[in-house]
Amino acid sequence: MGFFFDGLREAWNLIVGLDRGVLDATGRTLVISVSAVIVAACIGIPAGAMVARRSFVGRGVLVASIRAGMAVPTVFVGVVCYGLFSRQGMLGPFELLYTQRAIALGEVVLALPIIFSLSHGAVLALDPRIDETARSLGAGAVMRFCTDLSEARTGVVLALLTAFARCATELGIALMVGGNLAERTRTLATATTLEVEQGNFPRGLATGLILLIVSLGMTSLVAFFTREEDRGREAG
Amino acid sequence: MIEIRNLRVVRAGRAICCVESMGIESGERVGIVDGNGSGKTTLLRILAGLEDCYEGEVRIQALRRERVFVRQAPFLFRGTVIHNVTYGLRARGVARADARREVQAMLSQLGLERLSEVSTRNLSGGERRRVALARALVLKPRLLLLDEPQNDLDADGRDRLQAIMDAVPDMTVIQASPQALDDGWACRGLALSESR
Repeated sequence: MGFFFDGLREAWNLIVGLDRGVLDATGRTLVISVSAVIVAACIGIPAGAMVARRSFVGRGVLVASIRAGMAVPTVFVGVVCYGLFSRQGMLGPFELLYTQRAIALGEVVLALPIIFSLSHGAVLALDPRIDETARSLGAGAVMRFCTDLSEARTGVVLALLTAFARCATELGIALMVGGNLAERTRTLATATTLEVEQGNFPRGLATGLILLIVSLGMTSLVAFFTREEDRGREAG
Repeated sequence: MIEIRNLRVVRAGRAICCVESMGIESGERVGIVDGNGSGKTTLLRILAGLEDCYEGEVRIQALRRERVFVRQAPFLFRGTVIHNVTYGLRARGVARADARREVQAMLSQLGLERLSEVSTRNLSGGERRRVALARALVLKPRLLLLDEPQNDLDADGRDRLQAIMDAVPDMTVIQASPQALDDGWACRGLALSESR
């Protein structure tokens, strides 16, 4: 037990003392995850909203397939990305392997099904009077689309936060396509694994604790937005 | 302005709205007074261009954006009252400053000026109804379709609405209601069940 508490104390000192290695991994994790979520949001939010509003053959199969993507293990995404980014892979000439961009692209693949599915669900759950009211007031297709997103904004924000939490804490992709290179591709998750493997328990615990704080922060924000939405429903 | 012949709307094997023949002149104020389930709302939705699955002939001399429909239970968008009332003007590309000026004038005509920056979440039923009416009236539609307009409106609200409608004699107004409308609200009454 003393080993654990000694490690915890030392981990706390590393965090409070703003240890360069820990800060470096934290900053990189945030940059990569935020970039991945932004790219995935640019594709996933409009696609999810459009699929919710349009009916076409195969819509159910498409939505079910993308939803299934939310459960794909990160290691599997990492392996597929490795296959694509390696020298012999389709994207080999771009020399992406073991770069931050490779991790970000892999995380886009991870975040996209989450953002698409949750945005789709949020727009689908909207009051059907919204579209009718907008049409009756003369709104065109683009304005109606923006109105849908505005009305479903709590759900869309939840989608972004959930995707961010998943990207920031994932290990499989960062390890496979990032290679855990110091000062280049090391993220909080890969740093935690490496430090513990090397017997440096306090450093592993320090990076793990920051990962936990990021995760708890996101969960708290999700809970906050959900509560706000519930309050709004009660008042509305 | 409106010519309807042999209109028939069937849903799930049941005729929910039937109109053999109906004609409404421009600027007329008509009340469709009939019981529940007679097809009043369906007719209004067809006239508003929100429903296009029907049999028969419906001719309307007003563009789609010159018609506005106010539902029995109106939906207000998230945000403030002014955000809601400017919605249709923004859809028509009216400049922000002009839109705001027109909206403020309409809000004061309906006694809503003090609520312009209030969130729609915090409005009462009657206030929500007035906001929905302001949102429709500010567009100065050629054809205004009101579903049970007197619901939730107090005497002051009814007087104000009537005054606004009186001030725009060119506007054709069709109001659906299960009970007789107040004096002066409609020049002519129609019953759908008679048309069936």
